[in-house]
Amino acid sequence: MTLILWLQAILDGAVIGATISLGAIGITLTYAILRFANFAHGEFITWGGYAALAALGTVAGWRDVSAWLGGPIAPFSFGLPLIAATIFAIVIAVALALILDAIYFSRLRRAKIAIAAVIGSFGAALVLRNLVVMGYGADPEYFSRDIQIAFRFWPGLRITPDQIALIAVTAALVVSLHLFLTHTQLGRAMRAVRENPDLASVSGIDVASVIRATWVIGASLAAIGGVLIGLTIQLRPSIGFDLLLPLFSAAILGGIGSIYGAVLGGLVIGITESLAVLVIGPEYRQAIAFLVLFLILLVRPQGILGAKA
Amino acid sequence: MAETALSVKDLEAGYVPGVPIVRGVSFDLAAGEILAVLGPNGAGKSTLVRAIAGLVPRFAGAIALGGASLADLPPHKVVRRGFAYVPQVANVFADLTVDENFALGGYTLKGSREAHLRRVFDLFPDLVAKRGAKAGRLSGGQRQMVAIGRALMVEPRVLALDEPSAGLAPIIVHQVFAMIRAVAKAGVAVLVVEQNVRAALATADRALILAEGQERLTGRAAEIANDAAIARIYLGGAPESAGAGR
Amino acid sequence: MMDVAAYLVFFLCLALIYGIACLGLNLQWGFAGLFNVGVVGFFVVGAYAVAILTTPPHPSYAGGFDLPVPVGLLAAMAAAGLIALVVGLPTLRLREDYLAIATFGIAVTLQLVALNWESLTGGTHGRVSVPRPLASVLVDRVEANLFFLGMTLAIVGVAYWALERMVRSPWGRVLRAIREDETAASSLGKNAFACRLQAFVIGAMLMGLSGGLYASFIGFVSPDDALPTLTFQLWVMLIVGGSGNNKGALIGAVAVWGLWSGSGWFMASILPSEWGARAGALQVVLIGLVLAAVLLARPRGLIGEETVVSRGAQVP
Repeated sequence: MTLILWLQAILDGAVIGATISLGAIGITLTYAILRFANFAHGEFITWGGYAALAALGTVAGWRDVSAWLGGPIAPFSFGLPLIAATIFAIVIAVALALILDAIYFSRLRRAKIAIAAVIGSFGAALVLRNLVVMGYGADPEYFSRDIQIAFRFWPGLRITPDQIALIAVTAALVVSLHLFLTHTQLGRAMRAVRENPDLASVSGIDVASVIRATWVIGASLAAIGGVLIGLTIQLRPSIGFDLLLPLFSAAILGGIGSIYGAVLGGLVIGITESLAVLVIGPEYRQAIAFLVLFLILLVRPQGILGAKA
Repeated sequence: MAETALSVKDLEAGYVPGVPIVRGVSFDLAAGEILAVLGPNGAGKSTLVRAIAGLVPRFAGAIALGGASLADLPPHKVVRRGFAYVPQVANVFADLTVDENFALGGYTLKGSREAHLRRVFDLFPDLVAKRGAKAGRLSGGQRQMVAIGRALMVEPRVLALDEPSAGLAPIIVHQVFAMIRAVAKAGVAVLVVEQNVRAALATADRALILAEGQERLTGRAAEIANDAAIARIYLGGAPESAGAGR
Repeated sequence: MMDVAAYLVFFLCLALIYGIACLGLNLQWGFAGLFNVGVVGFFVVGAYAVAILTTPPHPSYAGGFDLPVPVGLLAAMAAAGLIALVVGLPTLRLREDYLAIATFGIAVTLQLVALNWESLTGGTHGRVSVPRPLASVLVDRVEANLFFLGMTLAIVGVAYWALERMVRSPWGRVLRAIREDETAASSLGKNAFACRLQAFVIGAMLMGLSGGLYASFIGFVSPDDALPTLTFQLWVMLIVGGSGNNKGALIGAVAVWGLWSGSGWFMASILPSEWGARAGALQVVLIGLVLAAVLLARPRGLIGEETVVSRGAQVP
């Protein structure tokens, strides 16, 4: 196995890892602030991707709007239409998350039986996933049928412009989120609620609106992740659910509640999966994430950047 | 006669419906007055203050601050009305810096926090050098100052403190109570729950003694401090020895 | 008339088979308070264990030892119990959500193994010709099904009786104490962890037994039997029936399985056949919504937990 193959695998892994990071950030935030493992988070990714697909399809049918928005912006395979579609995807995913919390999760949390919210989220995921199957069938979908020309930037190493865009967007989002959490009152309030909801409350923070903000951020990142996956790989009704294990592993690996931990975890999982695939083939991809999770729970359950409980 | 800042009437509160821990407590607190809430363990002192703050469900009774009712408000609205609460434990955001703790104290402030920050740091000059330190890394006394400073950011009408001297060295306790007096002098009404009876009675204007969720006695602090009989019945012995530093 | 009776026998067999898995889940969650979100994994391990051990030799696939069904069932319980031990040892000490994720992970992993380890599991084709007990004697289909029903009822009876005794024993008391008050339980120290691990493993063994019976009954195991839908179905059976209540677990299994089969029938008859996968999806959506609503209305179950009185307790 040549060095170049390994390096390419690491590169591919980093790209996938970036997408995992976006989802893992949402998981780690809702886990830390809401204290429950949300098995429906994957569906925000799926619904985000399919919402963008729906928007693109609709826009393509409107001649005038389509002409105004234009086509792909070279060297990428996408242009304004996808960007507009992504905004739509974010709106849909956020609405989904807020509605789910309002009518379902918040009530299950109030029941104070911890497993209720987890099982409820599992059931919600099942329903949401099958709704997509009802709408689009089980076959894969793509944003564009064009094959992308990859950059070759080292003898044997290649990356497509779309993948570069993916990494750039993820990096920008992570930095923005960090700045938000450390330099705005709402961001500080989120960190406060994460640590001590009662103290936050008596400081004047409306915990309910912080919870809503958490859902907004988590669902937005998930929706963007869904679009990016659809862009660089494909859309299937199960993409979100298939990502659950890598997402949870990444969040736990990095340390629940830590944004940078989620990013680190995502990259580690992505690269590990990619390297392992070189050796044992792609069929056991998700099992790799589980193996990493299992090892972390054995060795250091609080995660790399987490504090010991 | 100073205006009444806080008025509590026949308050009943507890965690489980039908099982009140506070069983009909009434008192008034005037602006600039310090009221010490004393009593044996399990008397419901903490629960009383937490109920006013909105953290414990209120079953019956009235709570009014400056005339407006607090009884149905959630905690984040109670503080907006001017009632600031400092819990006994977990009273700072350990993972956040001193600056961030104060910034959060001023969460409900409209406009610039600068003037408020300056006033709080004037009260606690020792903390200026520690602005960027995580609150969890500070000493016990410094943490208590951050906790109180966080509450004072909104310049509340009423400040409630739950055992502010707990676990602190005597000299720090002295500083804390001196600060409480300074705050009251500025016109803030102060409610202090305490186990350190001597220090509390030396600082407070009046005292309210609770036992089993009900008030047993209210009176001028100086009188209670000198009354050996009261000390014996409610406060576990002679006032000089009651609760003296452990 | 014969058709209806025959269908009822078939239906009851499956409902009771799932009921056994439900009893296992009840032990883990209802009594020990453990979050198992990967129930299907333990079920399917049992199914494949029976398939691999009891089928006749096959040119391409491993196993095929042609062992008697009871041996297969024992192996099914052992396999599921072993997996539970491996997963439980590191995770039971951690916060409950981590067990949920870990069990979810093992179920996904086992599904992948079922899909891809062709020489062992037959890959997407699965393993066929899984024999019934006394297959050579009971040739008539109806007789065979009746016998299986009787056998399953007997197994359910034994399991129910054993579980009822266990939860009324001192061991059961400790378990419930742990579930109710973690802090008090931790003062019991080592015992608490050992108790929970035992409950977890025994519950898993019941799930493996259920899977093994399923394999023998249907005669065919495939990766489709490893889907998370079954986890959800079993949880809903337990929730509907009442967690912490063994009778409730069985009643819930029959009721929910009835609802699921009935709605499947209904969908098939009213929806056009071109719907294909979409029809199945619609069924899942509708049932999922109904059962999600039940979870919201009565998180502790429709029947609710029965008050368990321990042996030797002084009741006034």
